[in-house]
Amino acid sequence: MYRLWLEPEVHAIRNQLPGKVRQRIKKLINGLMLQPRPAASRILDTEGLALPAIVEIRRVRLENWRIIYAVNDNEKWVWVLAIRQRPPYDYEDLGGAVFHNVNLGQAKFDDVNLSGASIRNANLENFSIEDAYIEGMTIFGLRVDLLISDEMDRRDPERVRLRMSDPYDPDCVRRVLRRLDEVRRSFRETLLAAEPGLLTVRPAPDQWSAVEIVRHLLYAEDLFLNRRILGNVEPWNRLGLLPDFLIGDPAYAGVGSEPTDDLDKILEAWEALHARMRHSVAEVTAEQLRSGLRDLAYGQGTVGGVLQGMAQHDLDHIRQAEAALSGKDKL
Amino acid sequence: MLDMKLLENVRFVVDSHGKKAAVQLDLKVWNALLSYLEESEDRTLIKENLSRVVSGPEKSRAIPWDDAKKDW
Repeated sequence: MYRLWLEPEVHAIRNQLPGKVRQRIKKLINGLMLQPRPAASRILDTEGLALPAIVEIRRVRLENWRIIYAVNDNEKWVWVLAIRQRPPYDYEDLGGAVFHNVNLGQAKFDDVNLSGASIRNANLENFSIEDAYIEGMTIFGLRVDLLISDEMDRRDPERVRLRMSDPYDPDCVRRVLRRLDEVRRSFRETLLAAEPGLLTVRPAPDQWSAVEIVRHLLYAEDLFLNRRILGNVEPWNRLGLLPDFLIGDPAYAGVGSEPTDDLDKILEAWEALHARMRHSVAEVTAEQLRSGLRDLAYGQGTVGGVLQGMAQHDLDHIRQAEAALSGKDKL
Repeated sequence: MLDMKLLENVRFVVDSHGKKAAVQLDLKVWNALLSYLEESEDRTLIKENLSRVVSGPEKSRAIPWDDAKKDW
């Protein structure tokens, strides 16, 4: 484990990062403690700069952002020196702006960073929030993130069953993944029993159809297994589907290059990947679950963390697909 | 290092008087230029902070991640 440090400039710049990018950069930086040389990083040419040999300068990219950092293996530290963006810059910075006596009725906020923002003396009638990271969010002093989590657990007990009490305990991990297999089997039956015409219907223009969700789950399994856990660099499965914010990222080239609505074909490819995942987890040890990942560009820091993330991710999307097929809102 | 040969194939946009007014670049050239500028910028960053980097984060008053993380 390396001790991690930030340049003050890096800490200050966090408020200028778009919401989703900021959380991904946070995960990436956090992961450097366990793995200071993720596969996506490269060493910078510092020839002629009179740097001590024990200090290595590296750079890792995340979409059009790059993080420059120093590693010292002798003293076991990683120091994030800068975060820079490659143009074109399409993010308008209004950080610290004060909106007073303004009408923002019917306004839509998409891919925004509102962390640390506060709202007082406001009319929020019919205000809605979807697909947001809300850890630490309070309303009238109450931790609504915790209340929402409890309520979602109550409405869907599967969330609790798929939560690992200890992601580093092999028995616990295998128990949760066996349960996840049951959830997937039931989902597969739902898909196969659904009216074929419904499978490709998007509930809304910005929401995936059931088939698109299965393609996304296939991509995710490829990511979780091949890139994060096994560290394979084999070509991406071409049937998958990327989330919007990764489209165009060269690291994911090939994902979705053969889009299809053929459910049987997608399910077959997903099952083949999952069989390898099942095999990989069958003999996993506590030490392996605690081990750091090879690709930290978009991942939790340990194998156990990834498997926990996969269970939650799958369930969330399975519920979305079921809602898409039933015509009802999720939960 | 930027391969200057890449710049041999840029195209110029001319105004109504035939005077060069803008440059069009292939995407490959644009990306190569950006990479070159980034390399240069990153090198300058290290050069300007060399004494701090040599001293290490603790002596340079960098911020421990454990203290900063909660604000991210």
